Amino acid sequence: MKSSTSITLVLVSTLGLSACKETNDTHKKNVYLRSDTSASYTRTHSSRGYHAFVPYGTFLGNRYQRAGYYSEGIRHTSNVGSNSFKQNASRGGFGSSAFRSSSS
Amino acid sequence: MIRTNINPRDNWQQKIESLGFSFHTFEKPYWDESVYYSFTLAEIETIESATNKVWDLCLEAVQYIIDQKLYNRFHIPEWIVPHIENSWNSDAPSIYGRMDFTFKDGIPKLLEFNADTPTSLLESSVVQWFWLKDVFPDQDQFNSIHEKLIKYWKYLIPYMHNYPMHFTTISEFPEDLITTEYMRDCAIQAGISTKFIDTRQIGWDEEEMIFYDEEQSYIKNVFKLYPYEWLINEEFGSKIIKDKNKTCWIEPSWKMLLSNKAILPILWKLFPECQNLLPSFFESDNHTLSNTFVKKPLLSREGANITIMEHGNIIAKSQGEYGSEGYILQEFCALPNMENNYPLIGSWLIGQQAAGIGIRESLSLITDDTTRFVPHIIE
Repeated sequence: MKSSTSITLVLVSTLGLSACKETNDTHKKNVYLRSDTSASYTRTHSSRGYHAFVPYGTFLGNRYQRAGYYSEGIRHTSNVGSNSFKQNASRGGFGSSAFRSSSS
Repeated sequence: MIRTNINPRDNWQQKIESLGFSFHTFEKPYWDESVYYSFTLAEIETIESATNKVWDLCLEAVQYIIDQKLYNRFHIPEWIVPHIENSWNSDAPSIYGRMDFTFKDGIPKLLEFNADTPTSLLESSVVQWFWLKDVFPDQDQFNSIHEKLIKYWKYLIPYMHNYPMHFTTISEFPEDLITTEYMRDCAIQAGISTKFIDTRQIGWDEEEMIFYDEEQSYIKNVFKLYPYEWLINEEFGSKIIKDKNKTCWIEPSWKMLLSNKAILPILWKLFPECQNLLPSFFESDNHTLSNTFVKKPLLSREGANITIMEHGNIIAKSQGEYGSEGYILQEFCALPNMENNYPLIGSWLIGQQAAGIGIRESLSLITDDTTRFVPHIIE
């Protein structure tokens, strides 16, 4: 055989997990997510099977000021929490080229 | 290699979306299961063997480039050279790459090597595998990418810092995000603790000279789906060599030598007897090529800025914004014409082994970002 004998996905597809198995494993995994460390976890309720975390924030001059992430797959309370910008490190020093050129 | 039309599965969109493959359609379908390719086992073994062979030659070529200090031919800045050499000499872990071959008359010919940030991984590894199980459950496919990824992540654990692996890309780009998250999926299954961070959120503390994530945790291992030629030319690029943690970057910086098209004339110079290579030269060296050749920028992506010349005339050309670093010339070896479709074989290398193929089919001789991914079987 030149192909994989079985394929299981644990992250990319969550709600589609049972369809990703060749086995008869019917155990459903509950996936708990949050998009901010100050938020509580909630069980996912995405209908897409994939929980994309999209960053949001603003650019101040050439600097990106991160406000946080959100995902359509989890509840509002787990997206927001009590996030405040509290980093010592500077950010935004990587990533600018992607918006000047096409990606890979 | 035979091209066959076939009816797509009912609800194919839903089926592949359940695998996390959300970017299957742009203006036209990118995933195209109205067609498939079939190969004989002998053909697959030829592609497999060529991939392993060219990989061995690539490793020899990297050592040659380092020994001869040929970095100027790659337009690699001097300040990053010690990092490249250190990553090579310390066997810094590399996990994957995709060699693009034209497969004509039974011989795979290397067109280029996507050694740093190859995409089309999820569709090659997962999506076409589930298509096979649905449509041809008794047939085989050259595709053990998923198994080999998990196995190789496990193998790499001792080479990494004993710390979580951060996975980073630009999260607005669905293809890049999902490819990165798929890699992370495999790493999780290998038992590695992981985090995702958007590339723009990587933090740098100038006093401590350490990279941080958003939770003020060290970044000591990074899988990046973000090309080195961008990374090193950005504001934090120079921090990579100042980094006190000596972060483990995957792919390692020595892969910059293989992802640059300058590797093609180097390979040809060293191994002209290899039937899987095409005659290639630096444009600046004024070599005489055959009447038909391809002009490629040292650094370009998605088939941009490629020109095919025949008897002094342009027969195909793609637009783009690359080429300032210079060009290489490669003897033209056309993709096979399959009912006016031109398939390109993307042969995956996982760890040190050929692991499977993905086929991208275009309507022109230049494979660009509008090509369609089509599945395959072994008869």
